[in-house]
Amino acid sequence: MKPQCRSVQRYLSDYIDCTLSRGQTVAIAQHLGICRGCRKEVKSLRNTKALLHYYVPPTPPDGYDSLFWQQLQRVIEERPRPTWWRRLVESFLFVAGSPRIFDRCCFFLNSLIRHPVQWSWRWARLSPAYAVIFLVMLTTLLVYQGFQTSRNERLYPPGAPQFLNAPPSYHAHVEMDRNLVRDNLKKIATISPSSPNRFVHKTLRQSNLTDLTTEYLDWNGNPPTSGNDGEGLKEIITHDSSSDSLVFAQLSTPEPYLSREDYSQPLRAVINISYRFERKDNRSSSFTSGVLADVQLPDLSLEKIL
Amino acid sequence: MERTECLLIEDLRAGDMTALAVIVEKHKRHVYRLAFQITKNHEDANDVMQDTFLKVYESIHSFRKESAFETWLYRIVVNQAINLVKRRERRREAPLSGTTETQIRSELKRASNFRNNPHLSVERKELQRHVTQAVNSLPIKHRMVVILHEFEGLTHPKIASILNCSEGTVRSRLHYARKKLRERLKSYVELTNLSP
Repeated sequence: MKPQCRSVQRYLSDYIDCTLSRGQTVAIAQHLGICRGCRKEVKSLRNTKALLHYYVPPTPPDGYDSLFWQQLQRVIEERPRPTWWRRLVESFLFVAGSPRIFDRCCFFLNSLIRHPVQWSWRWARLSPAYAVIFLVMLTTLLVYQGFQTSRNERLYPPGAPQFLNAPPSYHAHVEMDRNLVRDNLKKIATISPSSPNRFVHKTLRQSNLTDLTTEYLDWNGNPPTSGNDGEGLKEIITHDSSSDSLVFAQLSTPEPYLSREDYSQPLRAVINISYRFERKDNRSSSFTSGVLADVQLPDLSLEKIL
Repeated sequence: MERTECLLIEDLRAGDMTALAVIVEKHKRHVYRLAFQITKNHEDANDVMQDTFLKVYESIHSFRKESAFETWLYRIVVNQAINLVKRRERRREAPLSGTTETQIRSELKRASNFRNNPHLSVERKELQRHVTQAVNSLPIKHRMVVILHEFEGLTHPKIASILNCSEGTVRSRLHYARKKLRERLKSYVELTNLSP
């Protein structure tokens, strides 16, 4: 067969269906005019297409139509149209592990037990494909990791705290994750809405980022009065931009004394600090670091206050 | 999409069973034929048909009118039928209809159609049997393309949409299906001047 005939014959099926473009149809018609083999091929395909008219389509048995409609009505009555929440649950069940997946797993295990040799051969046959997939995934992971490392090295030079070692062209701002600190302090620190001026002012002074020390600064409170119930922690986290200190908690006066918790132990809390670097060209980058800090609470025993 | 079809779909969305009855009446022949041609037996075709119209009733909200309703319906039939066939093959189940009364009646009806028609010559009946056998013996992918194109009269883009593949794949499958059919019906193909 000539190379030209081979390329033409791929289109002969479309040619007899008249689904080719005008240009393609003309080109093939021209070729058919000079090629006897391709003409024979077209004729045989046309005959095959014509033969399909003798196909006897299946017809349903007598009385099937009414029977089917009755069946369908019965099924619909038994299984009403799903509501939106049912669809949601069904899709969740499908994702979480549908019976079909369970069925497939059972089938797989069953086949593995009954035909171990056949399945081993099947796995062995597919092993190159698995190896290729694994290699592609590994390469992607390595490339991504390499990219991340070079990016971090570029943005944050290696060494101790990156916040302190920020390149001079960066201005550093320190922000704290308020929710986390608040959640950790809520158990021991409450403030009374009726006496908002009573508070303990605590400041974290940072000598460096990994060694946080606490310092008790101020106490403006008066002795608590009985029956003054506290009501949760007030919004207390502030940002002190004037120095390197971080004001992070204002504790209430009455509630800690009335409750019987042990304040002699330091409070261990994870404090998330977000660093944001702003460059002079207005581009910024940020990352978050968690610091485990033991916050020593002031001695707030009732006897001492009184 | 026709206006009446749009109205029917809207009614069905509102839960009108009459609309479903009209849709079933309109499409049941095609759906049954397609389901039978894929599953090759009446009981499975019945199951597919029931699941299809049930899905239409339940999922009509998800039909976004981007394609014709007919295409959407055929897609459901094809998916349901292929799932059933695969499930049967996986479990190596014999078709339920092998010896059932319904199947026997169906076969008898088809046989009587041949027998009672005086215009059909013996050769013609034999040819019909051969052609039907040849089509049924095609692999499912090729058979579906032949059925949808030759018997349902769908265009290549519609078939591609139903089978969720490219138009090129449809063309290629149709081409190879015709070549296989030509091999299997070689003695008839060689006869010239065939008239359907």
